[in-house]
Amino acid sequence: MKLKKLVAMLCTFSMLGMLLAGCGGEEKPKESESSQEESAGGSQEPAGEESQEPEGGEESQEPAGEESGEVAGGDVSGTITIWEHGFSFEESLQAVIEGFNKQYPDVTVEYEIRDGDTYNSVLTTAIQSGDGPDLFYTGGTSDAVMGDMVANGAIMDLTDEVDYSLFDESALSRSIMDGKYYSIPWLTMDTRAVYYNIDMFEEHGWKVPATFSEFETLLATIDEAGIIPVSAVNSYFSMLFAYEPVLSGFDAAYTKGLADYSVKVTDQPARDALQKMVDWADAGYFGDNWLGVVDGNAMLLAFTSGQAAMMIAGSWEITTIAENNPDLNFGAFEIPSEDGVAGLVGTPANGFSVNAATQNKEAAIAFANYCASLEGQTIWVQSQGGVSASDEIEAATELAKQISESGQGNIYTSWHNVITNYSTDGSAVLFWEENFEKVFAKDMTVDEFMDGLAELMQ
Amino acid sequence: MRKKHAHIKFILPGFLFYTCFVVLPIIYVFGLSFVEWSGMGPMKFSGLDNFIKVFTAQNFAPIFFHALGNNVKYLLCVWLIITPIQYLLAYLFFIKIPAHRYLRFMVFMPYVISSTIVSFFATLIFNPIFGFLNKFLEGIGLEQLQGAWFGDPKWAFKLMVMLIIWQGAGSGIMIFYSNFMDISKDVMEACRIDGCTEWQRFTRILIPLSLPSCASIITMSSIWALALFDLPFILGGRNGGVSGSLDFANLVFYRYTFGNALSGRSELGFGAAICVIMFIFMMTVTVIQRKILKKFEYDT
Repeated sequence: MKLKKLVAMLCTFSMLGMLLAGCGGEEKPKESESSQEESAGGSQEPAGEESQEPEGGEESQEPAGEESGEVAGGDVSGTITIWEHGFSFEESLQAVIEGFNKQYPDVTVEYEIRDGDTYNSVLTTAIQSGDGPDLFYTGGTSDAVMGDMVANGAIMDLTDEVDYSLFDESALSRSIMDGKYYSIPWLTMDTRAVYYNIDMFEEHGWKVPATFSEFETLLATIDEAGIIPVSAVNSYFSMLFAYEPVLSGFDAAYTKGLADYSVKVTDQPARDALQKMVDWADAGYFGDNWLGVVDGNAMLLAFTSGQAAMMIAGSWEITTIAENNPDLNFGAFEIPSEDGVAGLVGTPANGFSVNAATQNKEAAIAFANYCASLEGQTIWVQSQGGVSASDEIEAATELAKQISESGQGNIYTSWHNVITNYSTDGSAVLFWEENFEKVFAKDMTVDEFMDGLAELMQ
Repeated sequence: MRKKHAHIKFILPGFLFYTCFVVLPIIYVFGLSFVEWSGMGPMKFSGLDNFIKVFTAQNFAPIFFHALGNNVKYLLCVWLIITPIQYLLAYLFFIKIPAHRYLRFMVFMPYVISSTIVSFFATLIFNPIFGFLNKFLEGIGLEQLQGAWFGDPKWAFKLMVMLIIWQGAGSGIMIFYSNFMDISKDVMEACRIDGCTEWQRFTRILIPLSLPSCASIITMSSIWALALFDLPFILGGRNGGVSGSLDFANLVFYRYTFGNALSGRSELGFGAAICVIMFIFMMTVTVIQRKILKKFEYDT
């Protein structure tokens, strides 16, 4: 009987233990492979290793703790934790950590990838509870999170801690608040591009369009050939990334005006460009039943599997497309305006900020400085396969170069960024999130949408 | 004296555990609903503002009530379609229709697959561009029947209910079936000897004697119906599909509380207010339901 009780109690406690362990959703932090390899005596060349010698580095101010390679990091030690917001950045982060560990072998860098919509709320909760990471990604001034952290003293002012000499004004636009820097940008251009299936284009004799009307004609021609012209997904994120380049091609002069808010986000060109997209959707240019595609991966698959001839998406999708179908021969271009002018919509990407409550400030700042260095930036840009936002860093892939060249040196401000930054009370972006899809579903007309948005804008 | 306090010692661990992990969080959420808080920094007391916003904000109230309407619509489906189907299938297994063992296994099997996986495969089958269903229809020359499926407001809700029946009916069927098996064989034999028809046996014996399980299943399913989240989230996206056809209160709570990766706004106080409203709504539905179902318990 006693034995029975004992067994029952043990079972109860073990079940309770498992239950509690299961409830704790904390991800086990990953230590970078490089760090493990380093400690085992192995050494793996990081992506972009050949660019380790900073060209023109003599002119730039040396970041703290980085001046003499491995020796410099000798007195910095301990463990730091980094949070990134998407798996597509994991390899690049590993490569950067690997480079960092060559200079700072005594620092153990752990990272966690927190993919999904709840990244920001999990981050703020973790920081509020004192369990936040030492460094973490935020969207910078593109969203409300960094501002919220600055207002609450949760994020470190890096102005005097990090060497920002590598970056120009546009690169720092997402890092600066009230004249102080709170994050390290990445010199990858967060832009959008039209990806196209080269083999399919060659087979049918289609040409990359040189004007907006040629682009529109191309859509009709592809549709007539029985192929879906553009793979699309019924999600406001993805439709935004399609809308912005369409808008820039539809009216380049208007799009340029967004930079200083000399034009409103709801002006006639913005309405007409959106109506143009709705008309394209009605004409079947996104597929007959495209509203049923709700997953971004499905959109990607439709393009990579050859169901669609083109896909308009972020420049960060280059590696994902290539990984999805390594045999796919694809190129990219920007949608040109009627007079042939094209540009890149977007800004350089934002990177890591440092937690004001970090327990290892020295190592965290050292990592931040490494990220701000030419070497760190080169590793990141090249491992991302992204479009370079710096003359000093060469894009790693031909495709990224193609996108850069297609932009003809023009950079346009994102329409979405303007909504975020010039809303009267911050609710304009919520209105856009809630209603953008409704325009394509015909629950709302373009004018109703734009009028509703206009009411919430400055 | 010892004996007097024995019951307290007996319930204390459970009481503490329940208080810590259930009661206190509920009280905390109630408290949060009266503040404005993004999850960072000090909370700002806002009185009833969050509740007023839920009920009156021009850009929010219609969305919330539309989603709540979908919850109620689904609740009616649970009561009028899903539970009767579960009951009927359990009855068919009970009367041992041909191949009942195999069918019972097949019906119950999807229940062990998580709803996330079911939804994921559903999106692959019903994907309008490369999904199996449209390709199949094309293959047999019925292109005109191809559709957007979950992207079509006429189909989305119906398909979701079908999917839930396919995936989740097994649990209810098993409870009903077990209840049928628990009915005394003497009663069944007696009614047979007395010359009851199958219909009479079903209506006069089985239904009255299985009302306790009906009460439990209806109560549980109703709570589940009002807390639906995962299936519509995956099938229709975070905005609840085309024309909000798959938008439910929990999805609204999710997107307004946690923001998203692009805008990053978190409104924990506002989200807590939605939670409190849903809590009260669910409690009301459950209490009314319980009162009605209690009348039937007497008969058993």
